[in-house]
Amino acid sequence: MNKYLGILSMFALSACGIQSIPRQLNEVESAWAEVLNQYQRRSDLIPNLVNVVKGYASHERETLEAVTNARAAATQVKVDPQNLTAEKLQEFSKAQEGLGSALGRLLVVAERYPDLKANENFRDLQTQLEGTENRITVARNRYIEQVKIFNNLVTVFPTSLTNSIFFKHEKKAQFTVANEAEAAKAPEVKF
Amino acid sequence: MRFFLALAFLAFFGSSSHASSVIIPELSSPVIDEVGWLTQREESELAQRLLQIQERIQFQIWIFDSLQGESIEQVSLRAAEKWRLGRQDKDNGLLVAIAVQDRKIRLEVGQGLEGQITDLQAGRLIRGTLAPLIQRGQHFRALLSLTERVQQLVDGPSPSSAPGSAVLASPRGGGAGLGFVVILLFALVLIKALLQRRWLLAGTSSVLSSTVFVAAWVFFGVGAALVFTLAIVFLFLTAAYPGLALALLQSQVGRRRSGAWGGPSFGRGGSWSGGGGGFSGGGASGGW
Repeated sequence: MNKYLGILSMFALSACGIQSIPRQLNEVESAWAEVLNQYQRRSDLIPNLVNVVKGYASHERETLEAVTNARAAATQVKVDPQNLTAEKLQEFSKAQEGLGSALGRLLVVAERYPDLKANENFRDLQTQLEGTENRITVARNRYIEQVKIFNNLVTVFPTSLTNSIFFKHEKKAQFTVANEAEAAKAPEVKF
Repeated sequence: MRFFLALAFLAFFGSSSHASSVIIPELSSPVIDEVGWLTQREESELAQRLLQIQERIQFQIWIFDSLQGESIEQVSLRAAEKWRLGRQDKDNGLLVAIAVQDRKIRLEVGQGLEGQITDLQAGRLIRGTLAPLIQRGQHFRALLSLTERVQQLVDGPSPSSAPGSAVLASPRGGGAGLGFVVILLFALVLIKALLQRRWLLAGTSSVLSSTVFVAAWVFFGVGAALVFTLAIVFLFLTAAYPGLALALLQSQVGRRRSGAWGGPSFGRGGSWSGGGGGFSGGGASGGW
């Protein structure tokens, strides 16, 4: 009798997570797609920005080239939701941070050109860039939250039991920022 | 004296050891003014305006004292997410957060409104509409102008006033829902006819429905095609199974009505509450 009870309870426990794990995996992947989406949005704004700045500060060649190159490098790193390993995530994060700091430097340089600062196009791009940086932060935070929930499901009893029997998922890599302090400051220019 | 100095010293350093975050108040009214920027009259007039447009957007104004070290983006998003402004399926929430001491403003735009109020437009609303008037101390006029501008942006080129039309013409899920209904009704008629061996009914209804659908699509487009087909199918349904048609009609009417009043609500005895809308960080920040 006790033996049957034991087997029965084991089955009951392992049913925990039979739905929630795949569901949470989907949440993680969709959250990642959103992160990619917002980074892409930032990437799309950059050619315009470079062109506008070039119009007023063409001899700042180094800074402009740095941004264009950083953008190209960031576009090379493709991470699709299905294979999110820690290394790929690290690579992606680094590339995007590189772009972020190149952008920051460009905006600092732009501050020295009052005509450029007053240009309506530039101000618009500035607003759009700020908006995009905010969205990136929000998307990233949401992704981190979803990964946390998933990792909890996969490592904490009783859903961990279901995972080890049926799914065998590994913990997902968490989004880490190489330079926490610097990344927290979005490229910002005070007029 | 020394005791008080010590106490002040302790309070000053003691409080900085743990970050106190801005407390988000309960959602009591479309206008929450914690610092007294507006008079009672101004506040209720503004609130009335915002209630009038609540079907289109759930517009929330929140004026508070200090950011206490957080960024306006963080505070604004926390508030928007806590209050869940906007209807769940439309994500049409909009929050204007004003931190008076820090002189910062943020327009937090719900996901469903990002098309009409882009980040760019939000930025312009702050720089062009809010900041200049706030700088002159005309708080009420600033917020009123903002509400008008937002209404213009959201209503677009062809303002639709009747709430009924807004419900029926909603793009999200409207078209897909209609197609689904048409297919369901058509299948209903067809299957019943076949089961009852009413071959003539089955034949004519399918031939006529498909002809109407294709013809209307060619001439008028998918939306109109669906509407015409729905009419034809429903005609067949009424002719062949009047009881069923009546029952369906009654259930549909009930559903529509409840749908129109769902979401954020503020009525006699009711309370202002969020409708479950989502935000993705869109909008703009600024200051004065």
